[in-house]
Amino acid sequence: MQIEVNHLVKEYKRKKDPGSVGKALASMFHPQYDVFRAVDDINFQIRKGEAVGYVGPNGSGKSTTIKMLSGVLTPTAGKVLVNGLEPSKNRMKVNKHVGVVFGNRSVLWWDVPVIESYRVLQQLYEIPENRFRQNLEEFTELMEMEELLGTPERQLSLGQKMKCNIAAAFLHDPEIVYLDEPTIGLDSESKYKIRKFIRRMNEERKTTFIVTSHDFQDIESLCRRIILINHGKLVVDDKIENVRKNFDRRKQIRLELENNPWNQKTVFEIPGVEILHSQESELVLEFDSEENDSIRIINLIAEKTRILDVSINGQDIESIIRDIVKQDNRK
Amino acid sequence: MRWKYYAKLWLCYMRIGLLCMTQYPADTLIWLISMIVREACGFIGILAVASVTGGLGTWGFYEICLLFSMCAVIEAIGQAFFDNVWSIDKMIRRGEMDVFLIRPASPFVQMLGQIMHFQAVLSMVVYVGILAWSIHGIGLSVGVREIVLLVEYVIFGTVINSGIYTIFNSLNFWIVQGDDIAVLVQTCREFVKYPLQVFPAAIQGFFTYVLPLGFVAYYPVLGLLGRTDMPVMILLPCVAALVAGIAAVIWRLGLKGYNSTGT
Amino acid sequence: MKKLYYLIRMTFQTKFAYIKAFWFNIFGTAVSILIYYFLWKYVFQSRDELNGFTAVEITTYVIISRLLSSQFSGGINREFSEWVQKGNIVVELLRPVPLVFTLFGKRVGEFLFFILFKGIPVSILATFILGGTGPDGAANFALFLISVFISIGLMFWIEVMVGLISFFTLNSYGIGYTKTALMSILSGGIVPLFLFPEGVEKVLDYMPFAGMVSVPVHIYLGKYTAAEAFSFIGLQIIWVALLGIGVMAFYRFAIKKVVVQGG
Repeated sequence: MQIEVNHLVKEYKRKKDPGSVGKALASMFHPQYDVFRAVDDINFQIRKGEAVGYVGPNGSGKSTTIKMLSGVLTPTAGKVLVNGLEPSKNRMKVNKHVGVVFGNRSVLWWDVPVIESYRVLQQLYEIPENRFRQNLEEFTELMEMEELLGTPERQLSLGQKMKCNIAAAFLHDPEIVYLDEPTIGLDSESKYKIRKFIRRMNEERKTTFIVTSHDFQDIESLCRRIILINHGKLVVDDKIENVRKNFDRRKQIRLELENNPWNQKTVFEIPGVEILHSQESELVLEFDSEENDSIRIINLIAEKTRILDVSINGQDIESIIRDIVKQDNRK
Repeated sequence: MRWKYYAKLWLCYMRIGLLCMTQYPADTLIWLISMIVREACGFIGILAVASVTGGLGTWGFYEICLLFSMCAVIEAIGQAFFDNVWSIDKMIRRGEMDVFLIRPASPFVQMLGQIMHFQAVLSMVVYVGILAWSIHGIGLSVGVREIVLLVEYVIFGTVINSGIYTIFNSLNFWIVQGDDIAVLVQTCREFVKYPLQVFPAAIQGFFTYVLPLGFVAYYPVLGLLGRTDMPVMILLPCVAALVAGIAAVIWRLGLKGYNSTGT
Repeated sequence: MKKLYYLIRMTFQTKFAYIKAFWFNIFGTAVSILIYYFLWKYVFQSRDELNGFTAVEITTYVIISRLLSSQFSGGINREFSEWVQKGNIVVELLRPVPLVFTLFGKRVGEFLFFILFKGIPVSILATFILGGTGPDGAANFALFLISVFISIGLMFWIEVMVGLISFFTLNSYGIGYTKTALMSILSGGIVPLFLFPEGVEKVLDYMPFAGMVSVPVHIYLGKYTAAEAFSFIGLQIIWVALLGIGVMAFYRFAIKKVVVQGG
């Protein structure tokens, strides 16, 4: 196993709000803390060459986990092993073979041509000259960024900047790359190129990926496995197709009707079937596929009016995850 | 420590710094002029005061020039290569330290290398010129002892000066806006541009024992002029080691705290 | 008048919002007063009088001149050039009040804040602690106040000019520093102008800079006869007018250029 996470816990101490002036003065000498568990007993293992989507709502502990994997944060309890080493104790050794891409932060110098920033990285990671050249050549070809190399970062568009930052994270042939919101704010063309590049690295170089993103297209197109955490706890760890099979119970029926008896109505005759949208000739219903079946619903509608067109859709992965989180929050 | 690795890395950072400077030539020129005029401001003041009596006590014209230029050289080196310690506060708040921590090199070296002001090297050239001219004016015979002392002063003076700034800026790891204290320290530093013996004993003691900024230039000048019984040549490395040691401990403790809280 | 009142009030509110910067500013001024106080004290150990100034008078000179010249580091030039760099200038130009009037209102607000919260308290405190002297009679004090108020005009036009120059560079900070340093030296804010070589002193006495520090302090200490005081104040007024005409011409030219370029 390349990455092993065992009973990982991270607690933050937050100063308690004292509430009164007297208590505030007392807290200067004897601070009271609230303990907040950002990561709560998480276990998972990742093999070499896997691409994993690490998802969850904001503040669920995603970036705390990534920071512990890269040695930026020290775990409160539990153990992380990356290539058999603990990142918090061997930070530099571990990170020599790790790359990180921050979607909202650039690691390049603003005022100098991109290639000059790469030269610093070459020295930082001690990349041999011929390897550096090979990589650079391959990356520039894949992402079509020859002209960008000679341009200072300040003159690049957001998409171009991101391409350059992604290439920067792969120059030293990392075995593992953490991608934090790699396509945030980009146009679809840039997104496509970046995803293509990442997939290629994964397939050809067997680079291991952990992707955190709110863009589920990123997750779906890059990863085969998904880890979902919520409130610091691991909720789902499975292949995306399994997640879809197991949780995709809600289905939507979209109907085009000659005239719609449910126009402007909000309640459907069958319990458990919700009207999502209803207009003169259009009706959208949602139901749980284990409680109801579509034939029965369509038959009922066909009795009342003429159906011109029907389509039945399952949920996309994004709304499946949303439902899982909702369910988890109820617990 | 891997000296060769870090030396090469430092050269890479210097290359970036040089390129940044050449990006905006007009800006560089303004920077240079403004820095020199700013230094000159205090300089002209004390020279005018000293000219009244032909000197301040035992301090003649050239000796004051020597003190001022030696002080300015160290400040310029700090501005050129150690200026980014003033960004510690910003880096912690914006989480920029993370980028340094995910790389296989010392975060401190990376932080310093991130921003260099090569413009300050240009102003340093001017100050070195004044320094040489003052030594010539005093008629100091430069022998082995003087050269050793000058070399020591450049190295250890820089360590003391930038070390003190590092210490106070690293307070940001614990307190919000701890760099305010660093700004106060920098303001106090004005005192040591002048011959310390002019000031009351309390101020002299403060800059010798509490905040040893006196060792940045004042005591080396006394050593050069042979006006002190202090073993300046031995004291300089000792004070520098002490300051560097404290700075290293505080920086490491701060970073360790950062590792556990991430804030 | 009502608009002026609002502008002044707004400036006060901004100043109070950044009250910490104000404390730092006071600390910096205090350090610079102390340094020159001790330097002069050292000089006066071996003499009783310098160019008609006693030790007590020099102490007073240091306090008031450092305070008055501490205004040079502020001013509206930085904010003015920021308006252009950030593009707010368009909004300001669209207001029904002339831009120069808005700037002047801000400048007066800044000046009043300086007088109330820094000038008066610090000068009284420093005079008691360091042992300075009060004004040389009520008439001279009144003339001193008049002179100080007129100096707002001088500072204002110079700041507008510096702000306009900053339009054409990236480094408005560097230009600002240069302005602060040059004005401090040339106005007698660092040392009295009589310490400069005689020819230089004569020229500086009649330049607009002297009107900001040297002239008011000399009047305060009763170093000018009534006729001299009136003619120096007259000269100040002439300079305000001349600078106003010159800077406004430059202003029209520069604003046109900025607006054409689109900010």
